[in-house]
Amino acid sequence: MNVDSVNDAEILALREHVRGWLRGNLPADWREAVTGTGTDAFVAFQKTWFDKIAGAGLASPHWGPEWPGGGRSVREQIAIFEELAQAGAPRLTLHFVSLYHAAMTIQEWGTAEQKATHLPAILRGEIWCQGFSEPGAGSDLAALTTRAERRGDAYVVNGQKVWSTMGRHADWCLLLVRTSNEGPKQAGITFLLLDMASPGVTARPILQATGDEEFCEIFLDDVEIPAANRLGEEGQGWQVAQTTLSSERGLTLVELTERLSRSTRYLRQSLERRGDHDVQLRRESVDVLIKIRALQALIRRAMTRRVNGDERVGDSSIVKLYYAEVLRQFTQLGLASEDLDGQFAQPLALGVGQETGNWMFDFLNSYMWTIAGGSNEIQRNIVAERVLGMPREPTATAVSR
Amino acid sequence: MTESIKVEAHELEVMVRRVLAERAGHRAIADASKGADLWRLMAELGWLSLTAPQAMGGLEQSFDVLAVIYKEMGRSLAREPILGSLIAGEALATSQSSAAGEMLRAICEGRIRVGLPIAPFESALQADRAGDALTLRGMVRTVLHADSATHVLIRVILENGDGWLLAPLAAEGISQKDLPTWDRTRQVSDVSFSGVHASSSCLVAEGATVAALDQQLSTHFHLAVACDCIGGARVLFENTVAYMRSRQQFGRPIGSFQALKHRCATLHTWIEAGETLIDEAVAERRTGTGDSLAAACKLYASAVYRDVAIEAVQLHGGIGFTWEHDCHLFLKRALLNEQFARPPRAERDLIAETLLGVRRPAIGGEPCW
Repeated sequence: MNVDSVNDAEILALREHVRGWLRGNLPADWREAVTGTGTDAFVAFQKTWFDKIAGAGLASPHWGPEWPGGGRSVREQIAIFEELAQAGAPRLTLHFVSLYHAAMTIQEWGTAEQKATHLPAILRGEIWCQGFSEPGAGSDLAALTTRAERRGDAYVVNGQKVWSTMGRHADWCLLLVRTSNEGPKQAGITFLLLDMASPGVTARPILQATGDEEFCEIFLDDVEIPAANRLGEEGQGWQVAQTTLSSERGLTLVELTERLSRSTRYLRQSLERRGDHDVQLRRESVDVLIKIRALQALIRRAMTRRVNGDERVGDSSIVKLYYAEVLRQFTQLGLASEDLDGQFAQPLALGVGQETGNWMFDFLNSYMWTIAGGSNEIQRNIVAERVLGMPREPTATAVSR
Repeated sequence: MTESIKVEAHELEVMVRRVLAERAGHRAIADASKGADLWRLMAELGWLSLTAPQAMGGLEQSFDVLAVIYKEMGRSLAREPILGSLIAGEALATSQSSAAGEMLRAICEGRIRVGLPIAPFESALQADRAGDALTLRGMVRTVLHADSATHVLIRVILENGDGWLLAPLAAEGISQKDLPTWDRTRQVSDVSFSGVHASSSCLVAEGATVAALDQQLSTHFHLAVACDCIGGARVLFENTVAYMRSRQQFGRPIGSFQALKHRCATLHTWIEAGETLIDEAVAERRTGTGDSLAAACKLYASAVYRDVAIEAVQLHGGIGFTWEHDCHLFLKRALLNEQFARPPRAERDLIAETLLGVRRPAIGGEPCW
């Protein structure tokens, strides 16, 4: 029972089409090109892959029907992501923010001119990053202090952003700034589109515990941004940002869960190596594999509800929490299964998502899901308050500093 | 057709919940007459004939409706012999025995109530056959619901292999010894058979049909236990959250403390995952697929039930630790449920091989969505 007009035969045909395209276009040894070869090789590979997959109309299924590759139903989008994941195809990490956060926000809030300027460019490979979090504003994003002063027909921006995915390679940035200190902190926030080539912009990579650098700090020193690059009204930025923040749920976890399910092969390989006598490892593996299966069921239910227009408050939080927990348990078990061997560093494979097969890397990287995109703690607040109806947190002072 | 079954499941849930709330009660532990009244009502309401074949007077519904019954009975900590009765019903529906139709009708009408060993696939009686008569010998340990049952469903060892038998308990040579389990919501007994005579028409299955029936009954059994677990976990959790929203200390509800809110959020996530996994396994059962997912459901749901119950005691503070409060009843039922079929470690070992595969939608196979 669903409102989706695409029938099962068409979904099967789509799956066959994607598989066929991948057979013809995905080199079997693609991972070698990005393993132990550093950031430049990773960027080059991602750009080549993007051109191929966007050219095949498979990069933008979630866009509106007026766009190449767009207008796909939720079920079709899911089918495409599942096929890509099951084939072990590369993840579009470099263009992730462009295709989702930037595209969805501009599609909803942009003027005709802004849409015409940026959306086709994104499909041609323009790279975007997010300028939201700051050293003093993570979970409490509304406490941000990067300042924008209106001077003539431009804003002059000073401040610092942190945890900006792919910031170093970005052409443009979704920038949240403070235009007013009066009233509630959310009401003083404005959303700007920043050309990363502007004078005064410095992007510095953040080295992670995993040894790679997916994120950047962005320093803004008297950066001029034309007022025409504002999305929505002055003081409406918080509202606009809600679109951005909700654009990455749902389908990302469909894809990631498929990839997680596929990467259980690495655990099986470990089990085979360890042999039949390692009963405890086998039992712990059974437990985590059952949880992966339960995760798939949870996501299927969340997406079915979405297809039926029946999404419940807290669904995405529950899914994210469970995914984060299962990912942690799975990668930690995988690491433990290697005993001492797991302690030796291997060359890093970049841009392959959570399933590198390098257990220590995957285990450390699992913090991306327990902390980023709304930390576990924030998600638990959401579930407790909005699903279970428990009393809300006492709020910090509403007026910003 | 699918849509109407779904609607019925929800309506059934509402009705069953209401009836059980009014009639059942773990507090009515020692009141046998109340139990008999409830069983009669259940038969009248058709709960016992939901999945029986139409040709035998049943409604021929899918397992979905039984999942509802099992969950609701788990919610109410019911002590009625629903598990053995419905499993026996399933076995009788395809039985070659001349008395199968009669026995199934009797179950549907509430006249036969069936007990079942906690480990039904690991218990067996010796059955010596002479013509149409069987002589039963042995001890069946840890039988559920023998106190209120008229029959017990057990595996037997015949001269030509294993079989399943629906043995009447009102026969000479049978003695029961009630076992004092910590779980006081159900009766567990050892039942010994010393040269007990039974008709071979009580044989529900023997020979070539037994292997397939084993699989079928195992799936049913595991899913039923999983449902009992998740139903119990859910209601216990709901009651716990309600308590935390009302109980005040330090001038505010204890549910406003973040540490406690977060623990509740985690428990809710686990229960949601268990419910969803069981829903999928129940749906797969409709297509007649295998047992490993059912066993996985039982493992997971029983672990969730146990962990929710452990937390529930803690989250209630002092009163959670009292005999008078319900928490310990759920905890003890959860701990006993974990042992059903086989202990969790053995269950993991058994499903290890089948579960270490990755499912993928095949072209032409059933789509994921």
